[in-house]
Amino acid sequence: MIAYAVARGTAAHSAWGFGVTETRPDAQSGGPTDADAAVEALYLAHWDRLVRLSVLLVHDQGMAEEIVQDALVAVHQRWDRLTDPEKALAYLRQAVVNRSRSALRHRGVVTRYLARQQAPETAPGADRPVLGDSRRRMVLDALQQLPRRQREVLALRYYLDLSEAEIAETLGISRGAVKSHASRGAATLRPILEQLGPDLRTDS
Amino acid sequence: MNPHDPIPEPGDDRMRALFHDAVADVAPRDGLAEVRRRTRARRTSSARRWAPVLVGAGAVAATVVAATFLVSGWGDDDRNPDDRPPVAGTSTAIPITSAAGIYYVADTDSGPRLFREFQAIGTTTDPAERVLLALERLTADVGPRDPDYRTLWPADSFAAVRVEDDRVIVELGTDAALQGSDGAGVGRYGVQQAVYTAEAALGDALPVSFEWNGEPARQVLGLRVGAVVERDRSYDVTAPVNITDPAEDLAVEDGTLRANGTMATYVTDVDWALLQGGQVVRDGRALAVDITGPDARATLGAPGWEIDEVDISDLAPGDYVFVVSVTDVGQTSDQTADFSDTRTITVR
Repeated sequence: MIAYAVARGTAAHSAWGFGVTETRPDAQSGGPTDADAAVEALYLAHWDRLVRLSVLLVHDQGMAEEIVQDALVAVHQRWDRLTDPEKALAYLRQAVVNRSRSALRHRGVVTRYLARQQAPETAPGADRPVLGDSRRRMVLDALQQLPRRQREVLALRYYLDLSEAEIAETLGISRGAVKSHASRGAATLRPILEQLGPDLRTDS
Repeated sequence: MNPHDPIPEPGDDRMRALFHDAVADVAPRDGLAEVRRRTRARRTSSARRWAPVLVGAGAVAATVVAATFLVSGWGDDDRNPDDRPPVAGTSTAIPITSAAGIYYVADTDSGPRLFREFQAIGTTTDPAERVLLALERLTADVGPRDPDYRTLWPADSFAAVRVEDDRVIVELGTDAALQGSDGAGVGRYGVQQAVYTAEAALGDALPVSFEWNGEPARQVLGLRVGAVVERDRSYDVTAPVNITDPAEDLAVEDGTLRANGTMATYVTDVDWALLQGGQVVRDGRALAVDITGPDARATLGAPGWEIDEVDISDLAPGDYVFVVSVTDVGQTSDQTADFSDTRTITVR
């Protein structure tokens, strides 16, 4: 079984596997509150995946960790206004994507500059297999070259395995727009897939 | 139960594998303790609102605690990004250089001004090394990418950097850096190039001490300097408008123009235009934005402007000049003065 299928199965169950309503602590005591427990549960279930999602969007692990942290704090702040706890994960995802986007606005110049600088080292000869780090960097660089919406749609679809409807909700765009960004983005990335050859695995 | 409705395509599974593989080597560091600290502190601060009513005498203590947290900045989502621990250079798994704001000089109708452009420098966790890497971009043998900018620092100007609690010590590497070649009036801008660039690299407002042969330098680039040189925040030091993105020679391939940058606090309107052969093909007015996060450190807290996604897909491929301009009303005199910054971009 490949990695994404495992991740999808576990994430769906672990997010809300805690009993906040049964064990409501007293907020005045300074002990953990509903919001604390919920945010911790969200952290445990989603921290790694959301940091990686943000890395796909901003290409920088330190910044990605900072973004997801900020998003978790934002969920905590808004907890009282989240009427449906099921919405918390959707809100968290949205916060990560939005914050990644605004972080990128002022980083665009650098990432594009880097992509240009690194291009000669990372483009392999046609007769050589693309391995490990350079393959990863190639994919991340290619993602950075995509228009922002396409990058977001592809990352949500192929990394988080969200449905079209979920992507539309997360990004605040129509399902038709999701479809068109996905197909244009995928068309751009497909040649890279071809170049990487048939033996790409995800069990590393 | 999850309503998955992807459009199945032959490449879908391999595309998934590609995305998962791309970040398979990213090992996020533990962030739970930090999230806890920030959210616990927040609750204490919100307690301030109800504590006086609910717990009477205990409210005094609660209020004091809350005030302490608020002053120290914890838990406030809008807290100053400068209060955060530095994160630049802490990435490990992804090979990435980090962005540094490098300050150069360009001539305007009102005299020289500092302009910043971003360059990629090596990633390091050592603040002194980060400052040195940034300062090395100031020397004449490296210099700006934008041909409108220049630098006053000769090659080999910077030998070493030490960061102390209250200052940054820059050891000069050549006596050519003492004399300068443009006179003290312009030398002032050269000295400030180094102070601005060092502070931006550090993300901290620390004055700079220049040393030559282990002794304090008394003259730098022809300007007499004291033991420490503070960042000169006078209105006539930095350009009132500066482009961050696009970078010089950027190739635009997706038919969309995006731009952003900084402006002086007193600037209200930033006008922009895209020109080909001197003819305006697009123009408009930029939106004012706040710059947050790590970028606010590199831009030293300056207010931002932004242009979000202008469609240029109908433009013929070729070179274009992107220009932003502001009118400075009465900062220097009753005369207005115009300032601009430009980047050449290539539409493909």
